[in-house]
Amino acid sequence: MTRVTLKGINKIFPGRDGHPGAHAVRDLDITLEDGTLVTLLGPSGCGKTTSLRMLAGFETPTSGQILIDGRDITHVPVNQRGIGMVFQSYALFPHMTVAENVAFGLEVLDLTRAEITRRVGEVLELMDLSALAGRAPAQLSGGQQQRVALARTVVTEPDVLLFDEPLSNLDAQLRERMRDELRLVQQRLGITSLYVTHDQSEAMAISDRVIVMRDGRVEQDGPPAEVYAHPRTAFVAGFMGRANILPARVLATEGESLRAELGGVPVTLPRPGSELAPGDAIRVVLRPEQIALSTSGPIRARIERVIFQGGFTEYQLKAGAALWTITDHRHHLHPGHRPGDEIGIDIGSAAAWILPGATD
Amino acid sequence: MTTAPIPRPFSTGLRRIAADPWLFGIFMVLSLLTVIFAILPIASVLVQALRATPTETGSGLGILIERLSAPLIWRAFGNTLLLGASSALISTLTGFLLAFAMTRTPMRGKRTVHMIALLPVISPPFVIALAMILLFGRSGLITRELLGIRGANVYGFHSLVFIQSLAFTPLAYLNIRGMLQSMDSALEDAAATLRASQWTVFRRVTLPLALPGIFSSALLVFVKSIEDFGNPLVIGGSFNTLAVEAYSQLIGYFNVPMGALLASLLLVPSLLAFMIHRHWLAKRSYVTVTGKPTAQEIRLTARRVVWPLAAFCYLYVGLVVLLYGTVVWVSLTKIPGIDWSFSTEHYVRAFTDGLAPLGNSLTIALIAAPVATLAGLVIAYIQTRRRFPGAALLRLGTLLSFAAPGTIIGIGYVSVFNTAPLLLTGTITIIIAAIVVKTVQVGIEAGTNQLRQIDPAIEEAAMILGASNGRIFRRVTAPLLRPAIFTAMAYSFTRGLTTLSAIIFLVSANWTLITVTILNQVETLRMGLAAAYSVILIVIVLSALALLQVALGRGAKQR
Ligand SMILES: Nc1ncnc2c1ncn2[C@@H]1O[C@H](COP(=O)(O)OP(=O)(O)OP(=O)(O)O)[C@@H](O)[C@H]1O
Ligand SMILES: [Mg+2]
Repeated sequence: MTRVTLKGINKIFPGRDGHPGAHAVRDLDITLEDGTLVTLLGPSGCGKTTSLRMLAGFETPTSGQILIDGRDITHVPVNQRGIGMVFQSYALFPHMTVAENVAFGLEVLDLTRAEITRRVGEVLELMDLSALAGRAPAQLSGGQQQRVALARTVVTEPDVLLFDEPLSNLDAQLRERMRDELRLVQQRLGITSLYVTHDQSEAMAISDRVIVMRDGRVEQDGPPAEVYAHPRTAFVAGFMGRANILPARVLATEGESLRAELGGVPVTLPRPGSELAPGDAIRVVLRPEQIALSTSGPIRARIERVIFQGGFTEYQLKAGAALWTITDHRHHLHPGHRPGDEIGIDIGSAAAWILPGATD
Repeated sequence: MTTAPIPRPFSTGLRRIAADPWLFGIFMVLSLLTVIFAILPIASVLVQALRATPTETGSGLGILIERLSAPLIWRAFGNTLLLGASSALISTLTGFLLAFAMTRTPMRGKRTVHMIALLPVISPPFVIALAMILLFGRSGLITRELLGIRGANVYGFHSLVFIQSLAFTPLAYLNIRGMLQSMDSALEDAAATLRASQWTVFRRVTLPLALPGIFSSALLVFVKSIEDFGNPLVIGGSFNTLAVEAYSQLIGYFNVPMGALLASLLLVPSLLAFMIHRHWLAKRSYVTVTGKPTAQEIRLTARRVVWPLAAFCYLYVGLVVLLYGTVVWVSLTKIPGIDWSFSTEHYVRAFTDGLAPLGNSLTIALIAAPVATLAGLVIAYIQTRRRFPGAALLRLGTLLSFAAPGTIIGIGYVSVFNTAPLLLTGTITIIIAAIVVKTVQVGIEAGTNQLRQIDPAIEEAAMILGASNGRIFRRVTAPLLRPAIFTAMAYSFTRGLTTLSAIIFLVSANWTLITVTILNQVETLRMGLAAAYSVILIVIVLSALALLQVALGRGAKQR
């Protein structure tokens, strides 16, 4: 049972020689429930690594508290926190073999030789690395190095696991395989984990909860499907995958639905939680796969570009001044359209998501 | 997103100390030692150069002007600069040609050329001077035996330049070779695909990219040349340099202020060259260390280029072999110049009467090398991985000690460590301290370069796996620093055995050293014995380097 809480964390890197410092993390409040994997997602420089490194103990928060199961560890040294970490560069010890790398953390615990050998053997078995035990890290492929890094971390049975973009050095296919393997190991061992990435599809595939960060702040925190479908801001909507974010104006509210004017056409949308009055500016978030082209669609548009992507076809359209992106995943069932074609857009209604106001 | 918070360097500094009290303690001790053994002695020499003797009257400035008006000072100053510039020019040119031939042409016998070209680095600096006297002196093998010239004069500027150029060429060669090797050959290939001729590629790509290396070599040789004491003393004749003049003023005439002034003057060009090197060149190095060796393809195969270059290399190597061969041969002759019959008596003498200085030198080098290495690596670690408040003092002190010529260190030690509580004159400690202070910077530099190439995440990984700082250093950092350990050990051991300029002031009846003994033999014209000592010294250094290689190399293979 391990529950991690970061309470009101701020991190300010002091400036040097008259340069202003960086307020890297602002008022961060996060709770990691036992056994869950939570992802910190956000663009470069938003403070993900800094947050992770504060939990690890490599950085000291400027203010705030870090608790593990209610115990304040804000000032406990790194090597006494019982936290494991998988580094972006793997950080394998280049002068040790795979087995020696894995054994390092156990030697620190002053276990007997036999005990160390047994546990190293078990973990190498679990990670399918037994055949590579005697190799040097330089003699391994990227995926194998990644597995060694994970094995070295989990063998000490840490209470908390941290990952800083562990897959970013792998090519696309391997990245997906390792991602699933990683998740499997984490779930099997049930270790509370914090995972940093700037790849939204990775975040959604692997996490129990996603925390989107921006400029050192939490922008949204929730299960992946929830954050994807109901982003709180246009920033989150755009960061969690492709989105058409279109300006619109409220015409009327009718029970569970909302009439709005979108691209000069009245449309019916689901009614959001917030109170809206006729005339209010709103933005409509539409995922490209949730809308369709149809000859009878109410919004008229012109096809600008057609991009074949294998699993689907992507259309880029222009409707008035607005640019739309629509993906067709059933493109094998009907003939495609061509650039220059005039066509209608059918937004359906169920999946649309409303953001109040004209901007975030 | 950035606001300007109040910087709180003091509290972050305190936190760094609190996180690592042990390391901070070591840091404090090292800083203190640097002040005592580097900054204080140098400062004391500067003070002495200004202090009035009982017979003098007037203010400090008046005395300084009075002293500076002595013509001998300016002659020595001019000579030193002339010598430094000449040697720098010739060594750098030779070194560049060697390095270019080695890295860019398919010349034959590269391994041999490389091994022999390095010989002057590991031998005492004045072995070549000794060989010159044996070959070209009044009763020289070539001048008298071969050409029948009587009264040939080998002493003076021309010999000195020749000897220094030869002795310092390896430094330039190694430096420039490293530069040329780490240059990505894709750059030269890219130029060639743009239809540039080989000459154009050389002139517009290779040479400009190698320029920082070339210039840094010239500065390095310049500093080494003006610091050199043994060669000018042995073969300079009436061509006096600052280092020699300072020595004779101090030891010959007991004129301490004059000696101090000459040594202080020597500090000026040294520091200047060193500062140019650090602050100007460091920013202009185009070669990035990627850590992965770039494959060098040999593209230059035209005979009209390769043959002259190869001939030049062989000529250089032939010269080195001739000079060192002469020393070996003379060490095995009965009375050089008179009785050329074979004899091992010099070696017998060296191993009986002369065993004490040999043992002393070895003892001192064996202590100084690990001390300098450990100190250098720890300082490198502190400076790259921990930013303790006050680190600037340590950096300044170690840089100063490296840039300062041995002469000023030697004179400074004599005056600072002559009274309680720092009464060290005549002890082994003072000699070891001088050697450590003169060589520690190599360990710092090698260690810093190595540490910069080690991903800090590797140490963090060890830390988060629960290892203490001590364990991390022992099990992770130190093994990864092995190449730097080798460099630092090899350098300080070799220098410890062969150095002269600083320790000439520090040796005593109890602690006389092998280099000083060789010098005495040369001055009293017992060339056979001097040659035998030199050969023994070279053999010791070579075996030590081989041992070191095996020791550190085997450690690597265990893995
Ligand atoms: N040691 C440091 N000193 C000063 N500023 C720092 C330091 N480390 C990070 N920062 C600053 O803090 C901010 C957040 O950095 P951080 O490394 O946490 O970003 P990140 O979200 O991990 O980005 P990326 O996706 O590029 O890894 C950045 O503006 C960065 O410049
Ligand atoms: Mg990061």
